[in-house]
Amino acid sequence: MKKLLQVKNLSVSFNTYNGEVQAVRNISFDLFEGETLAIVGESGSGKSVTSKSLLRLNPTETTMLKSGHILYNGHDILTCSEQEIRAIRGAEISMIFQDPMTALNPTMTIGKQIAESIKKHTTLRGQQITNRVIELLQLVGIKEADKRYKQYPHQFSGGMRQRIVIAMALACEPRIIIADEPTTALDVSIQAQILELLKSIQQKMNLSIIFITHDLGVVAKMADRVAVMYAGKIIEIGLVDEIFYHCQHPYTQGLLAAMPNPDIDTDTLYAIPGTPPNLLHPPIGDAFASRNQHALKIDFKEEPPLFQVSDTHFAATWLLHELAPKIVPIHQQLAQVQQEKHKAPAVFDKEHPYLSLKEVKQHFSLGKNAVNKAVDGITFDIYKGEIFGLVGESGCGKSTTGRSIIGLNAITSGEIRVDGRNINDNQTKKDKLAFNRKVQMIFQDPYSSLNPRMKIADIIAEGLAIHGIPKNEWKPKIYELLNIVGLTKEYANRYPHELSGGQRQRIGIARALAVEPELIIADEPISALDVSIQAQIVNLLKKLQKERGLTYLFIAHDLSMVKYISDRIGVMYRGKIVELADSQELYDHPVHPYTRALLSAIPLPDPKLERERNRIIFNEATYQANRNNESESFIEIRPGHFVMLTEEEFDQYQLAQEGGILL
Amino acid sequence: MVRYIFKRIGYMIITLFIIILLSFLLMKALPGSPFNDERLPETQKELLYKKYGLDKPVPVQFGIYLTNLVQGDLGVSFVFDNRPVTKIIQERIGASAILGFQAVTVGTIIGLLLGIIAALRHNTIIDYGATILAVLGISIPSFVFAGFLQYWVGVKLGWLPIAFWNGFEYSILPTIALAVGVVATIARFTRIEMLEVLSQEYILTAKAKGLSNPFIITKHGIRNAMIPIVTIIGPLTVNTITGSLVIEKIFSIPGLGEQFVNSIITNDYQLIMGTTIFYAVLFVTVILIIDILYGLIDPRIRVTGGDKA
Amino acid sequence: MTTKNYSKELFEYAQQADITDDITYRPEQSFWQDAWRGLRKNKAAIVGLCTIIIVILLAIFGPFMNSHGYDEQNIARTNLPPKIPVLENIPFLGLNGVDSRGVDQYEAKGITEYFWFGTDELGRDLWTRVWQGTRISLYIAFLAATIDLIIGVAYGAVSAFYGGRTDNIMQRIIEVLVGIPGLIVNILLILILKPGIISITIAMVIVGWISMARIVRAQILKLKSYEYVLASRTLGASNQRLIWKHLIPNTLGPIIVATTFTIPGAIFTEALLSFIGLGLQPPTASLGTIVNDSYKLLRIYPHGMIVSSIVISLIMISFNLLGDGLRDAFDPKTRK
Repeated sequence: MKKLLQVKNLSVSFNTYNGEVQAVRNISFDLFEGETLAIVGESGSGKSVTSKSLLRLNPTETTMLKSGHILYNGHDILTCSEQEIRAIRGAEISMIFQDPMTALNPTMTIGKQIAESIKKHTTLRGQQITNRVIELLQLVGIKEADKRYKQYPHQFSGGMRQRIVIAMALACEPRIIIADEPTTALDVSIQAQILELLKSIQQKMNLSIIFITHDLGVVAKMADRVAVMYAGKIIEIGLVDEIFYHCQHPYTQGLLAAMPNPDIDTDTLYAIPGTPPNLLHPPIGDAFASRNQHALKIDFKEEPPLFQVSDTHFAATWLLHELAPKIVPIHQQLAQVQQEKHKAPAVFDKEHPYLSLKEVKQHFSLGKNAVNKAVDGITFDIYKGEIFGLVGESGCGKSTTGRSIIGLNAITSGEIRVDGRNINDNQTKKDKLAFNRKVQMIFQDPYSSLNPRMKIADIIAEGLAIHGIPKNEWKPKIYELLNIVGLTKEYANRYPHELSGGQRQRIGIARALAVEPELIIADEPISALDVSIQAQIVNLLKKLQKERGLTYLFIAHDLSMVKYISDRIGVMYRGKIVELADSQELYDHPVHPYTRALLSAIPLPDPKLERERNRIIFNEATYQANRNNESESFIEIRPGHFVMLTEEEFDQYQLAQEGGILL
Repeated sequence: MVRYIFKRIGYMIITLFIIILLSFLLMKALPGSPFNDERLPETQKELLYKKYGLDKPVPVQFGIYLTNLVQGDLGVSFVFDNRPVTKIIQERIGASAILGFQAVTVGTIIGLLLGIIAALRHNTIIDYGATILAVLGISIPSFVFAGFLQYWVGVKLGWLPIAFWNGFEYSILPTIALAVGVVATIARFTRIEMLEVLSQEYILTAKAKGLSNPFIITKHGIRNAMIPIVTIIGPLTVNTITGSLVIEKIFSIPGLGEQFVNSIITNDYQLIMGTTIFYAVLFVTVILIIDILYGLIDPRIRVTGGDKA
Repeated sequence: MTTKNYSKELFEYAQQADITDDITYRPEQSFWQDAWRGLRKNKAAIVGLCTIIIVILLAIFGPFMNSHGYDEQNIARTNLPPKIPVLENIPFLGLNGVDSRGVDQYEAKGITEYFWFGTDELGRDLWTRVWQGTRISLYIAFLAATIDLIIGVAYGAVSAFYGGRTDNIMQRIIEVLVGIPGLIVNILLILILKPGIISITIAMVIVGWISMARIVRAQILKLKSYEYVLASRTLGASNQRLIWKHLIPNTLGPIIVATTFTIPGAIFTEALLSFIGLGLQPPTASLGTIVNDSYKLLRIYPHGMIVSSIVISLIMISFNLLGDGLRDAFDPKTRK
């Protein structure tokens, strides 16, 4: 295979308010013709900086290029003239950015934005350009392209905008596309569509793709080769199967182990301890050493070189040195443990549900005659001590449901009972306070969920103050709570902005625990966190649930994590629960077309599986069109497995069952 | 969009009504005002009584005043031998309009250039220089600047006439004096908007397309930065009106501002009231135009229509 | 593989303490310390702050620094140019008592005293008058800014916090008021109230609070949807607690910035009113009235205008610089 692009010894630093951040530290890799190279890493690992360096797009004022070459077609991209780099950008190498909402100019029609690079790099003019634009829009799957090219970005949905961005990148038939987290801002089903689009275009045009992402599932689906970045370095690089099945670096192993595997039942997820190092002061030796349970003495003294594992596979860890002790890789250790254990299903008191929702509706008025039916008649119970998962894509009403239960919104109609008591009966101040103690919430955004003006101690103590607990009891209680969530008591005197995302999320949990609640509503508590931190928080939540007999409503869009943590799962679609079952049952036998599409859209961190999988497409328009919504009802098709079906759909389902066709 | 415009016009009328009511009541209450001046000659008093029905209840009087106003009758000035206020405003507005127009045009062009250059050369000497100039322009009171301009350029150096209004060269110094504030305001705002726009991801997208910097800055940068700049036309109008009061006085320009200041000094209430209402109408109209303009130039509002309301 | 030889013990397991998760990302500091650190990096803002402090000190103590009263007239020593000990020996500064025609007025009038800023047309000491005037101007500005702040914060907070119909009505009122040109209202009001410290302040406050109310409302509306406010609500916090513990503290930044810009605005308005004949009545002097009086003598005795304009411009510039610096310091967007 031909080498298209060579990166040699690239080091990039940034000047910041606090000093020099060494974002990328001496990395080298090649890109071959027609391949997809994925660069994986957590936030701050330097993957985005690397991708931007490839087109010299990092902000000039703050970026310091320390060393290195990027060779493309006889040019060194880092040192060539402004004119040469401009001739490469868009024409030879183009880029797709993360957020399609901000990547398009809001005041220019999309047709003009695509035409810009055609005009710049080709000899096409006038009508020819328009034709090319329409052709490109059709290529990326935008219907009525001949009309829509005159529209502005805000007239398109997020997924459509990302298609437009892709059309823009393809405009001059480049040889390389750099995709910087192109699907992170999108829902899973849209993500699956965009990924497939990229793959089909790659085959048609023989493109090379550099795919930047933090999601190992997406990597498994897309990549031919994978480079894993940690603390500004490539710590392991190899073919996708080598990385997923034979990885050598303890960080890569840890990352893979931290992803819940839907096919294996485990009690705790593997979690890499600690947080990534601060690149203002990169550690001496192996940057991962302080988080590595098998760290060697030399890890703290000297940086490991890249050891060759195979022709295509390299890893930077001293464990590969001939003198190093041989260690069983983490994921294999875990697999052995899992074989031994088999979890007995938990038993709950189904007669007296702790939380019970009956036909709850939450409508918001959007001005005259317009109503947003955020939650449109949902009914479900949560038993005491259970973890109930609520999944769905953005805008399906899952978060609104959580907020309605805790009383942040007054419900439009229906009934919510907590511990047998209707929450609308809580009229007096005392009743309301008692209710607030029973039900607590953990929020999504670790950056906006803590008041920046308050010390951690005051944040945790807020509940104690509100519920009139004497001041002299606060201090031991705060220390105890910090200890419970895995932080030391030194944190009490800190301010939120001094902490990392994971640490803040722990404080949020401590705040909720302070009033000793019975039910916790966790609203996407991990979706803003990095993979290795997600596992830590999920383990903490599970541990607390066990120790304290808590009941959880776990709201999330990530089905694999929900499957892992929940006893039962409800799938929400357009304000309604369309399917509800035990999590294993739901995962094994999904019935509703939406659930099945959703399940098939989740990329799994298993490249072999990904290659074989077929995605089930859920076509919203045809689903809505052929349906008699009046006759739909929540039917129990198997014990504990409910599906929202119309009479017609239920008949079809029964016929299929009798005919022995497994759904 | 149409509904939105009607709504805005509704607010505009309420605002104007309040201003007119306020000024009317003030005039009624003031001793020495045209309605109750003891020194007023009997003939004129009769005239007034006849015209406004001063023997009738106050609401009726206000009704009559409003009716006259709608017909463009703002009453007569007593200081200027009973000349109609409308007439005086008509005579005076010319010089003010020319001065205001020149200052705003020159000021906006220089301000935009300065702001854009400062943003493009962010954190360099040029940026700091432009920022300091803008702070000085906003901070130094217009009358101080006008005073010294007149003293140094006019009197000491003798380059340009320092007073009156007899041709273009007479308008140069007052235009500069009035434009300084405009330059500073626009430059400051443009710089901030430009920096904001330049940090947007679509600028990076444009760069990744291989477009040249000047092209990106004009096509993507300036165009998007200009949209919010429309909103400062409002405060700018106020500044220009305010500035014209003192600058016309300093340079003895026979404009509306100078007239207004004189009418305050001579207690010519009818004229004060008339001019006040005129300024209010001008200001409210400008605000209305800005609102509509904003909707027109921003496709996010124009195409979906009425979302802002 | 590697050419280098390593000793075997390097490849033993490292003694490792429990991996604790206590790496903090930033040094320990409160919000105020953080803002102060941001402000300190902005040299222009610090210069502005120092100038403001000096001007305030001079406004308090300046009039007592010599023996002249601010309204002490003396026909024998009218229109004296400035003369300052020591500095009088540096000719180009023009602080040696020589007027624009090159005559030493002190010698000509036989005056041995030093008038640091010279005297006006009634022979009053300008040093004393200028600082006395600064005191009045600052007093008016601070008073107006404080009242703006109280009304604006209360109005904005109530409007945003209660939302719904209350907010709707309160916003309609503001939309009507915004259309009224401020200066016109000032002029009309002062015409009835007659110029005076209180009437000028009231006139400025009448329309001045609106911008503060809008800023506070916008900020609180934004904060209301923040998750820490929701968290506090789910814990059962009372409205009072929400307002005082969460909303107001997080609105202080924008409030302080807005106030910093209100003060020079008020000083300018006061001066402008003086300039068009609606200023304070003699013998009370403000910076505006002094500039106005000395402007009339600019062509013959420029020193009065020069001194008073420098002081007023300095105050305006300083507050604007400080305001810019504070805005950057409070806005985390500008720091990364």
